[in-house]
Amino acid sequence: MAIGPAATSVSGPHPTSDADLLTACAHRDHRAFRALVDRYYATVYRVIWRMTGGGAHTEDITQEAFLKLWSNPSQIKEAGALKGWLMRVASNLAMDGFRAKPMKDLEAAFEVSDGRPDAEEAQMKSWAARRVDGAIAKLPERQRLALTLVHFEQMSNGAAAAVLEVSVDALESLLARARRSLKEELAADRQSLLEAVNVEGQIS
Amino acid sequence: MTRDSMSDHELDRLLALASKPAPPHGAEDRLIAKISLENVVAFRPKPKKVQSTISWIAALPLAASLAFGIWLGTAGIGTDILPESLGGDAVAAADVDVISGIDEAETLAEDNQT
Repeated sequence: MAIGPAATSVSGPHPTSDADLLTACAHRDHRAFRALVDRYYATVYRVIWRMTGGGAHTEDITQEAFLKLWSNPSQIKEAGALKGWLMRVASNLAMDGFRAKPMKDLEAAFEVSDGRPDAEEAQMKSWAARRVDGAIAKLPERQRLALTLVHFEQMSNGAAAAVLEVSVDALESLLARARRSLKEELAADRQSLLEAVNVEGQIS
Repeated sequence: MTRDSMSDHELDRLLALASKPAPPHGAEDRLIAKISLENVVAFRPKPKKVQSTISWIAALPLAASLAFGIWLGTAGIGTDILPESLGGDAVAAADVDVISGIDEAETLAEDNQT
């Protein structure tokens, strides 16, 4: 494995800032890149998974976003914006190339119970997760991305707005519309889903 | 219970049911392997040939020389320089039959008959 110059290489157990890691990446330091991958891969993967409706291309898109980072780390002018940059690149890749497929088939998937009470609870939990995932997948892309960034990835409204390249007001509008649509979509199964929430609480 | 009765709190509770996907096992390693491979197998573009320019430069005097030769030939200049045997007069003066060897063939045929 090629290692960059000692002055910029990443070593030791101490956490290193994104800025230091980006500088090291610019010197083709694989360990620095690995540190960034360890730091952000799962987050980017989750966002892409949500944008593609759990599609098979999730890993490809995530890798593509990181390869863009590796090919030119110096394009990120402000290290503090790295997470947002990755989210923007990855979500654009997802929206441009891989449109989310409706998760209706997944929602309707038939599962055979093995008869045990815990299996029934697990089945109910699984159904609820697929029902909610399916409702999110039906949202328009930008509403889905806004909801994913703010609700699931706990990004601030300002940071999420920067990823979507919109104003904070516009982001809040997207979030409000997304939540309204979800309420309408899930209203029919409201009671069952809330029961599943209680099951979830008992299991965890 | 009406459709509009779901509160924000309830929606947040339902959203907590959504899947929390984790990257497939070894996904990060596959990514790192990709960039490592990129360094090991480096398909660099072939350097642009300077040779082609040089060969064009070398071809220029050759082409000029050929053109000059053709011009000399069409203008009839420099025929004095050529050996007499290659000159146009020498060829024109020669007997076509002698050059072709037809006379000799007839003589040989007669000899064979006798």
